[in-house]
Amino acid sequence: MTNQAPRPAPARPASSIHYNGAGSEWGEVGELIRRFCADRGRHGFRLGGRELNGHLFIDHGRVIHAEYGEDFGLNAILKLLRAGPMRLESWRGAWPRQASIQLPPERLLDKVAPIGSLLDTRVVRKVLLPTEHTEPAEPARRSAPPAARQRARPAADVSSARAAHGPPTTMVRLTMRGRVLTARGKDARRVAEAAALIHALAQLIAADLGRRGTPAVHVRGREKSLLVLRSEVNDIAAACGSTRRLASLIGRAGL
Amino acid sequence: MTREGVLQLLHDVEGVVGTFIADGQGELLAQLCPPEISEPALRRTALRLARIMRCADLCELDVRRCDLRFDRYQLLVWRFAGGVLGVLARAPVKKRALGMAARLVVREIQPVLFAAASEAEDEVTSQYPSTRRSRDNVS
Repeated sequence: MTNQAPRPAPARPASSIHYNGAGSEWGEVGELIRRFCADRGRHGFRLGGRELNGHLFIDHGRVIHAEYGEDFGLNAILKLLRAGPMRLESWRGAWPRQASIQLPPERLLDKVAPIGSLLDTRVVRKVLLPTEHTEPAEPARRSAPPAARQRARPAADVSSARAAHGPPTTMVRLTMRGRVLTARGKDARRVAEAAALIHALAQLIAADLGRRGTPAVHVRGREKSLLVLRSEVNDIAAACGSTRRLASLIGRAGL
Repeated sequence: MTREGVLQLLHDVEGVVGTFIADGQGELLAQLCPPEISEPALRRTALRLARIMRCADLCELDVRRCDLRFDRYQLLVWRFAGGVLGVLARAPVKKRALGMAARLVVREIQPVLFAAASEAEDEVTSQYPSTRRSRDNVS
């Protein structure tokens, strides 16, 4: 069941994340976790990265759920912590029906300590919002510690890895009423429309067959797949792209 | 073998609750389902599945499979030339066994479906001998 209880607005932190709970600011997810777990409050965030978006939910000093791109739970946290500065917005939508992470923040942050020495700096810079079609904010990268710089792969490597898996996955999120929340990738509008219809039809099929539960749909083509399911925050999530790329997500959806 | 007889092959796989076959437009052709799933409900399901597949085709998918999961049940659909085969199964689904059984059923069912289609065609062409003659000449 979705928890729709009213939530207190995020407390204004005294750290380098100048987050006021209303607009959007940029900061590191590690610092966000430290900051908002400390006040033992209830905070939901939408996180916008250069490539992927995510959500982070903190309750009583613990991160209870995270989503990032096609990942959720601990995998999402690990990727969020490595993702660099992200745009932070207060999440006012539905909360996850159940927690996917049970670790306290210190354990979570320990998990990335060997690879994320940048978390030890406890310094998070506020960066400017990047404009459309521009390269990532260079100053933040330049001042990153050596370990973080080593992790950055050359652009050629990244593009060849992407080419091996085919074009990027189109991902959309819709409210139950069909309003598009986020969308990225080729033909995102068409995928959003298809997802809305497929989700509605799947619900009718479930009702006709007398089966309860939220339907998840995987339509598989020769090389591409379309996945439509309800996300942990109770909206409709759809992904359309290479079946190989979507394999882990399909497996987690139990399809 | 009848269509229902062919579908019975799938019920040997553990967890299979019901099976059906529909044509490409979503018209129900045969079914072997428990009584709690009514035929009108199954007809609607077949139509909706056809719509889901057409919808995915518009997203340039060239659909071959369609799987739906509802809690502990899965509806697995295989598309083949001339129709779709649907299998309602209870988790845990033995997908490999089910996949092979579905392949066998598709292989068995196609001649049965095509035979029925050609019989229907013969009923029409027998009323128009000239049409039948020209078709025989071609073959």
